[in-house]
Formats: sequence, structure tokens, C-alpha cells
Amino acid sequence: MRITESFTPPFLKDTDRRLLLNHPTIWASRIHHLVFWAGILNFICFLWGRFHPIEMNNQPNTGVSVFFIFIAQAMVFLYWVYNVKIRGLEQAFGHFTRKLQTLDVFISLAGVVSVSLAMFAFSLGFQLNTRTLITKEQLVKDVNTLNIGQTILFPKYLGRGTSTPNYFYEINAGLPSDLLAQQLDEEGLSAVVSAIKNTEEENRYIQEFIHTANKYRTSPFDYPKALLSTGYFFSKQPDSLKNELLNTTFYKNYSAENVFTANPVTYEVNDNIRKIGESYKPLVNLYKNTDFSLFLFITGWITLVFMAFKRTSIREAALAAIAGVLLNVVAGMTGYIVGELYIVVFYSAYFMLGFFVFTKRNHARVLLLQKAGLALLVAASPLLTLVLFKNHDTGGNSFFPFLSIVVSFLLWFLAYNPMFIRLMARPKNQ
Amino acid sequence: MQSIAVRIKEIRRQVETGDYNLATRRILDLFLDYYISRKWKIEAVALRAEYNMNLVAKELTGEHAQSVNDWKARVMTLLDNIQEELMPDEAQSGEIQPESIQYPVNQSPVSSGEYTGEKEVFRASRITKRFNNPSYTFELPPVDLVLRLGEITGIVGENGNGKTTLLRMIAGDLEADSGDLSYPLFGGVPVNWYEFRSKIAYIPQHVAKWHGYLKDNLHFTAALHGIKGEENEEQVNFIIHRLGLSKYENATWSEISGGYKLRFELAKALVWRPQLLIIDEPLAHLDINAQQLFLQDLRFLTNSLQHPMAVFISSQHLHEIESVSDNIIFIKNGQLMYNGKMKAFGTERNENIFEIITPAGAHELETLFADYEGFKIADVGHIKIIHAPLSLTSARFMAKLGEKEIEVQYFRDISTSTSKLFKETLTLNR
Repeated sequence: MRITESFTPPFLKDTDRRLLLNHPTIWASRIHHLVFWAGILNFICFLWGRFHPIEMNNQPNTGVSVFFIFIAQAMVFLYWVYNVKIRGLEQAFGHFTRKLQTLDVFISLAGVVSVSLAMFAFSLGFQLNTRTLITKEQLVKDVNTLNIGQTILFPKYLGRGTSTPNYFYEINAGLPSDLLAQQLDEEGLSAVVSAIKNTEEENRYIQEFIHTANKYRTSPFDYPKALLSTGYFFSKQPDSLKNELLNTTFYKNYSAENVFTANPVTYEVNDNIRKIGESYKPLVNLYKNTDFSLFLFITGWITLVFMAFKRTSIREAALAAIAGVLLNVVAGMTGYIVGELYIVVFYSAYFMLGFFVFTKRNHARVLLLQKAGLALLVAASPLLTLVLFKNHDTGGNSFFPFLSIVVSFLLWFLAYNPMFIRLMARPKNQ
Repeated sequence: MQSIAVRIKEIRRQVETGDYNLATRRILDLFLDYYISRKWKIEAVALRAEYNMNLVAKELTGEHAQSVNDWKARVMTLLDNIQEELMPDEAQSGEIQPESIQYPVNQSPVSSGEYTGEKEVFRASRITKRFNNPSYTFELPPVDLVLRLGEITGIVGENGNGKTTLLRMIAGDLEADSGDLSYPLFGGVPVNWYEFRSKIAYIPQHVAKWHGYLKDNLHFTAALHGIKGEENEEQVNFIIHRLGLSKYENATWSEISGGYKLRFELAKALVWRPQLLIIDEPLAHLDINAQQLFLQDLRFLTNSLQHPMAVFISSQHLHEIESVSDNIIFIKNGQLMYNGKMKAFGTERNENIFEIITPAGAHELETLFADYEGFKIADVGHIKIIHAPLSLTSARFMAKLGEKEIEVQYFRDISTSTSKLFKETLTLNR
């Protein structure tokens, strides 16, 4: 503790002191420490993305960065959970009012969100980095043509087949661009041109294709890389081809420059893309974007589980977490392969049964209610996996994430209902 | 107002006779009992802090006699100021009428000016508990119990006889199988257990580890119970100095001994001024001196005028607990051997019982006291248990031994102690 204290800035110590003396609920949540350290993590991640070494012909593997950021996030998150857990606010019977209970819900959500943002901070930095490079290399015009290539990128990353010519996949697969350029033979190039010819029939085909492809959302981490890769590829092509591409009706109608100016993170190709680009409003775009809905959903879910675990023992929490992960893997795989909901329901029911049997000893009957709530939350978690798949299958439909957020909020308030807290405080029977 | 006069006089005497520890503690107790200006409270805490920090204790060696005199003069001035504030008339006349000090039971060193109300905090009627474990069955017999403000109730007995079970039931941690319990001072029969448990200070036998600095934990607990801001700061400082814990206030849990852990637990319980304090086996962790200090503090604080408490305490240290208890419960082999007023115990006895360790043999003693009909001796280990007629008082017994110059290594009159219930059973079993 004294080691970490030596790294704590004076203003944070003062804040800590003020909260300790006046707002014990907030103090016990450690949110002030978390926001500070998560802020530093986010800033570092942003800088890492912004100044990551990147060259046109040597594009970094962002997956490695993402992995390490995930590890850092997990460490910060677990350290926070540990610190909250050991302070045992719920066990310290005091003036824990309804208002404070509600506050604690939002504090927990804010904590999870502040840690989760690190990925987005990295992504934002990396996009700015890429944009700078593209500008520096005067590839804007070439990148503009990506508007087509980008849309074709998605099926490849999702591993789903369409009628798209194979070399379009390869262009966007992250392979060295020079190699791609060599592999792309004359026939392939002709196919590219023919696919985007300025004819009404072909244009309709392209638009239909784009419409289908856009059902699949892409990872924001791959987007700038795809921009770069494709842009670089087209920069190697003869001017005649590029001019032909740039003169198509499609390009004129769907200028990627606008999209790029807007914000790649919020990028969502649709018929109104140009309008969105012109009337750029980051918050509005963020709200409209399905990625953000999913982000909210995931953070909300983590918060919910975290709050449920705050009230249980470490042993039970660990068992539930392990069981939850295993169940998710099995249910996710089954759901992906078979695609049937009942598989998930079956596993959930099985798990709940096991959970009850395992934890029924040494707890009052009324506390079983709490356990039931926790079991239900964990057992329902495979739905997250299912929702993710469903979301892709329904072409970015935000209904499921939205519904999940609503349900999560309802569960939070149920879990933190004063009546529930009163039940928790009832004497045990052993 | 007479009582404050006596108390101040008593404190002056303690200062003059060099009992600075007790004097400074009793000065602080004045602030618990009376409304006295904050400036004097700060001064009192400062004087106590100086004592606690050994600034004065070191000077007691005589090397810095002048400093000791200065310190004593400040204490006396403080007492003058308090007296002037509380009793302006007497202070001006310079005459304080002494009042006969009425010690409660067992010669507890408690002066008058203490809470002597009869407010019931807890009432139980025939509460029982039964455990059906695979390896054994235990049943706590029906217990009737009333806990009142200003009273200490002790429960004594061997291990596994249900002391902790009873404590947990009163603390709201364990559900009674049958019987009625209510907390009249808190609103009667508990419906909202969270609210009731927020008003009960319970120190279990095995206390959970504290995390972070000890003083921060006290601030947190106080704030959680609505004591905030400057008041929080003052209250925590007050309780730390009152219990002599200032030396370790910035330590962590692992840095202090078992005895201090218990005293910090007591500080944590007292810092929010509870009206019901339940302590399970506190003496087990304390050495003899610390036991006396702990019990003395408990007695003083229980009888606080402004914040009296009802205390329920369990222990196997019969004599120590009896010395401070107003009521006593003795459980043995799952049976309730005694449940009533401490001072009433043994009043209707038909014999006296002494414990003695002496080189003299049983035959020698029987010969010496042959004149006393009913004189019996039983050996319990190296201690002899003497059953004597009421005419043979402890004073006469010891006088006779003195006449014969019989060496006595240990002697205790247990005629009015519950320990005789234990000894009687042992004797019968021989």
C-alpha cells in the first residue's frame, strides 16, 4: 500500500481524504483512484496508437497491441475489484440509503466504462496515426477508392463467403501490399474495373453488394489498417485505372473522404453516409453507432456481474466466474455451430442446478435468493455470446444490445433494491 | 452538578498521585458525559496525546521534572477551566463539596456521574438454537435476557456451550429457532434487519482483517454512520487517544499485535457511539494488564452520561468478567446454570467456597479447621477447593492460616462467583 501511495499525486490524496470524511460510499468504491489510473492507461493507449511505428510497407499487427491493452485493462479492473471487495461496503452496516445505493450503481458503471475505454483510446490514436501517414504519403485520393474495397473487407474478416471476387479479400486481408500487387494479375484488375463500371446495372450490383456487406460490422481496430493496405495497393496502380475508378458515379456519390473526415470509429456505410460526413456530430454519431451500443452492453454486463460478486465470497465468485467462462465457451460454440437457442438454455439450466447444489450449505434460506440472482445472471451470460452472433446475423440490428441494456439496468436496480439489501441483512440460520 | 465536582476532584487526585494514564482517560470521559467547549476538548486530546506519545512518560524518570510539572500544570488548568464552565458558582467560591463515591458492583472503579438509567435495549424471551451437524448435535437451552443501557452483561462458560451462538443471535447474525426477541430502543421487533444491525456494534471472536491504514478505517466507519467532516476528524482522534492507540494509528493491520487489533476493533465499534455493543471473547487476546485496562475502559464507557451503552460480553475469564458485569449468565454442558444479577449471585448460599494453593496438606488444613462443621477439601489439580460453613469467612480463614504461619501462594473467595458452579461440578465428579 505504501508503495502505491508513493505514486499517488497529492491532489488524489486530498480527494481521497475529503471523500473518506464526507462521502464514505464513494470512497469505498475507489472510483477516484480508478478513474485517475484508468485515465493514465487511456492516455498511454492513445499515445501508443498515435505514435506507433508504422510504415506503408510494414504495417504493425494491431492484434498484439490489443492483446496487451486487454491484459492491462484486466489487471486494472481486477485490482479495482479487489480493492472494492476488501472494503466490504455492504457488510459495514451503516447509513446506506437508497440514494447511496443508486449512486453506487452508477459509480460501478463509470468504473467499468473508464477501464473499457482504453481500447477505444488506442483505436483513436491509431486512426489518427494512420491518417497522418496517409496524408503525408499523399494517398488521400487513392484511399478514396477504398470506399469500395472497405465494404468488401467485412465478409473476409468474418470468415463468411459471398460472391465477391477472391482477390478483393486478399487486398484487405492484411498481407503485404507489394505482394498483393504482384499477385493481383491483369485479369483481377480488369474484374475490379468491371465491377465498378459506371453503368446503371453494375452500379446497382455494387450498391446491393455494399448493402449486404454493411450488415456485418467490422472491428474498429482493423479499419485503419485496411485503409492503409488498400490505399497503398491502389497507389501502385496505373493512373488510368485510378482515374477510371474516381470517375465512377459510385465514387462521386459515396466519397470516402467525407467518411474519413468524420471518424472511422463511428463509420457506418449506408445511403446517408455523405450527409453524415457533412454534418459531423461526434456524439450523435457515437450514439447512433451500433458498436457503441454493444460497448455499453458489455460494460453494463460486466458491471452487473461485478456488483453481484461484491456480495458474495471470493470462492463463490471464482467458481461462478470459471463456470461462467466455460459455459460461455461451450454455449457460444454450440450456438455458432447449431444456432439453436435451446442449447444455451439447456446449459444455463444445468449450470444453475449445479450452482445451487454447490452453494446451498451455510446460508440462510433468504440468502439463497441472492444466490439465485447471481446464478441467474451468470447463467444468462451466454446470451451475451448469442446476442453478439445474432447481432451480426441481423446486420447490425441494435435491438438486442438495446434490449440487453434495458434488462441490465432493471437487474441493477433489482439487485440494489433496498428490499433486497434488507433481505441480505437478515440473520443466517447457521 | 455535584457529580462533576467529585469526578474532577478524583481526577486531580489521580494527577497528583502520578496516575496520568487514568487521569487523562477520565478527562476525556468528561467530554463523553457533558457538553463542554470544543477548545477544552482539543486541549484534553492534546494532553492525552502527549502522554500517549511517551513525552510525559519518559520524563517521569525525573530527568525532565520541569516538563512534567508544566504538563501537570496544564492538566490542572484544564480541569479548572472545565470546572469553571460546568460549575461557575463552585469554581468562584473555591469550595467543592465532596460526595460519597458510589461504586457499583464488585468495587469497579467508577465514580458517580455515570448513566444509571433503565432503558431496555434488547429483550429476549426463551430464544433457543439447535444445530444438527453430521458429527454432533448442539442445542442452546431457552434463554431469557434483558440488556439495558448502562449495564454490562457477561456470559461465561466453557467452549462449545453456546456463548457465541447467543451473541450472534443478539447481534442479528444468527436466526433463533424459537422464542421472541426485540430491540425496544431501536423500535421493537426487527423488520428491517439492515437498519437494526446498523445500530448494533458486534465484535466477533475472530475479527476480519482490516485493509489500509487503521485510522482510515475508523474514519470510514464513523462516516458511514453519519459522522462526517470535522466532527469525524475530532471523533476519531478522540477515540484513538481515549483508548491509547495513537502510537499505531498510521500502522496497518499486520503491523500490530493481537491485543491492539482487539482494541482497534473496540475503537471502530465505539467511534460511532453505538447503544448496543456485543463482544465475543475479547480477553483471549490480551495480557493481564491489557485485560484490566480493557475492562476498565469498557466499564467507564458503558456508563457514559451522554452515550450510555448496553454491553454483552462473553469470556472464559470468569473473575475478570464478573468484576465489571452487572448481570451474568453461566452456561455449562448446554444448561443455563445462572442467569441474573451479579450482585444477587450467592447471596442465598449455605456455604463459602475458597480456592487456595498452599504447601499445607489437606489433612493439616482439616485439622486446623476441625472446629468448623461442614469444612471439606477437594483437590482440583494443584488447587484446593475448600467448602466452609458461612461462619468461616475468608478473613477468618486467612487470619487462621496467618496465625499458624502457613504459606499461601494463591487464594480466592469464590462464594459469590459463578466459578463455584464450575468448581462444584468438578468436585462432585471426583
